[in-house]
Amino acid sequence: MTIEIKERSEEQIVEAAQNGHLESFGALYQRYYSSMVALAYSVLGDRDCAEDAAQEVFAIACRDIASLKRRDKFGAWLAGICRNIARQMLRVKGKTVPSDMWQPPENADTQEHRHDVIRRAVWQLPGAERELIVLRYYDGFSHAQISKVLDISSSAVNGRLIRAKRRIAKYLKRNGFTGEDYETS
Amino acid sequence: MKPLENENWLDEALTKSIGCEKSQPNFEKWKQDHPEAVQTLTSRAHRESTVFVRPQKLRRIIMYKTITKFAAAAIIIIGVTFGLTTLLDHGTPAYGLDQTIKANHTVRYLHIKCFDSEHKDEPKEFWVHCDELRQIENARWYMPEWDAPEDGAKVGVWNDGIAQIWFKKKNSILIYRNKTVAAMMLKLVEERDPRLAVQRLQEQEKQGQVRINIDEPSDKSLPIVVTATYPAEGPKQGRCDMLFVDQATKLVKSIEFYTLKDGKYEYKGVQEFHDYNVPIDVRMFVLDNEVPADVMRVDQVTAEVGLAQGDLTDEQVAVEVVRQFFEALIKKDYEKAGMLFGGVPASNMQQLFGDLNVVRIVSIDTPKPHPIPGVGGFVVPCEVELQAKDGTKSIWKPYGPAVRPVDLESQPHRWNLHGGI
Repeated sequence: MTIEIKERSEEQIVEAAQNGHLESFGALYQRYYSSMVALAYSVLGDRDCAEDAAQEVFAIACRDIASLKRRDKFGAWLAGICRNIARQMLRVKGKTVPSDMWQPPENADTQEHRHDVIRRAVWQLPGAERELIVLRYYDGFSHAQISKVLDISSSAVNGRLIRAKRRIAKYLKRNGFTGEDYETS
Repeated sequence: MKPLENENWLDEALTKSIGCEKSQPNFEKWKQDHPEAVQTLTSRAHRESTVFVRPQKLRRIIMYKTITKFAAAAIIIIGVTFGLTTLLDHGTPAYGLDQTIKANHTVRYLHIKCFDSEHKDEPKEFWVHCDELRQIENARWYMPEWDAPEDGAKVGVWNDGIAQIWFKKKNSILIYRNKTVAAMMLKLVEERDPRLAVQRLQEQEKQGQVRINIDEPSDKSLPIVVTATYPAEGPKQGRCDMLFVDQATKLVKSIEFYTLKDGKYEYKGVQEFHDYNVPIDVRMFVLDNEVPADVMRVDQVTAEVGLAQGDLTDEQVAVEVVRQFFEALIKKDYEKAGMLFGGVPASNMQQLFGDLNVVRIVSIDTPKPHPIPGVGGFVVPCEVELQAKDGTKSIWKPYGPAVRPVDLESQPHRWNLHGGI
């Protein structure tokens, strides 16, 4: 029941924004900005670029929101725009590898190098799983929030997260990363 | 338990490795940085309250003045050419009629919606029916008012070499011989064939004409995204098309178009493909049941329109069309005036110009090339004398008038008046 009311209220906000109500669009911006940054980051691997992409996503959404027919799919619609923008940015910048990912470490034994190895493990995942992992860990989004953005059920989010993490662990193991000397706290 | 087998350990490691401080949304700054987007959104609120009062009221005001009736009727002819040239959008190159000979596509039926980036609410729409030889059998299109506000919304159908265009706002229908519609529709389905579009891109890639990137999500409910980027120095000037392909059917469902501007890709619109090879009711390709009974029919198929050029030069025939048109109005010969005016029926000409009492042609000047690129023909400056019911006389300098060949396809050696005056 609570979820239904929440969903309906978002549809109402979207409808108001479609009718030109700027404050409603602002509410959607507040609600989805961080997830769009995370989603763009999963494509671009660069935090600054991801922030730029998210700004652009809302510029397009603001302009095109009237064309959205399924108001209950606003998050997923926004995510579609975000993916396109991020891919375009990759092309325009001529990047083939996310810049944050492959900085050569000054010292291979540093903690930063270990972070780097884990990030590599994330970036070798298929696109959909990488999105999921980044949304979950970049900014700590809940399964419900991720489910709205990726347009899949919460249980599907859970199942895919487990599979993706297994894949990451496998990759790390294969690359000789045991985690024994990794400080998590 | 080893760290990698410990889920909590992996959660923490991932959070530390890819996590960051929460991005803080700042809507106020975003608004300042994107005034155009804000303007687009807020203008919608204003439009909602004004859009419904305009057309009928404006029409009444226009039609109240006799001279502006002239202009209002004349616009009919402008719209025909415009409608045809915008069937294909997003930079598709001009199409030669000789290319209609060999059709190479898999489409029997297709419904296409073209959304422009600036007009998201009302797409241009095309319905295509091809025969067994994959030639165009029937076509229908809808052009919204935004495409040509002076014409208003238009519905067109094409069959067996004859096109009919219904100008809803003008309550008129133009019937004329035409091959261009079929050629352009054929080009459209060949280029955008939902089954072959990706294959064609791959062939183009082999020839170095385009670079493509295919993103196939593991989630089968998501579409495959094929991104085609054209060279910046090529004819498509760095355009980027994104094709969204259904994973189950392998059919292209939509294509988004982007153009390169100042190093950034700018969204231009999207074409959606619906009902691939789902038969379309043939009644969709007939306008008779849709148009009002009192619609004005301008039939250029059964009647010759305009004035035959004969031995006259282009400039001479342009002058002669204007002279004969006003002479016909002076004589109240509305049949002839209508024939020179694109084929508008005499009864409609009388309704439109019956109150305009032209008594004398004062002067007809030397024709000048039409100032709008692509329109063709001439404008022929002139002055005529009008007489009011109380006997008062006045001089009227009509705008234009514009004269050009009736139709380069079917009546190329006949010239007529077109456009507003």
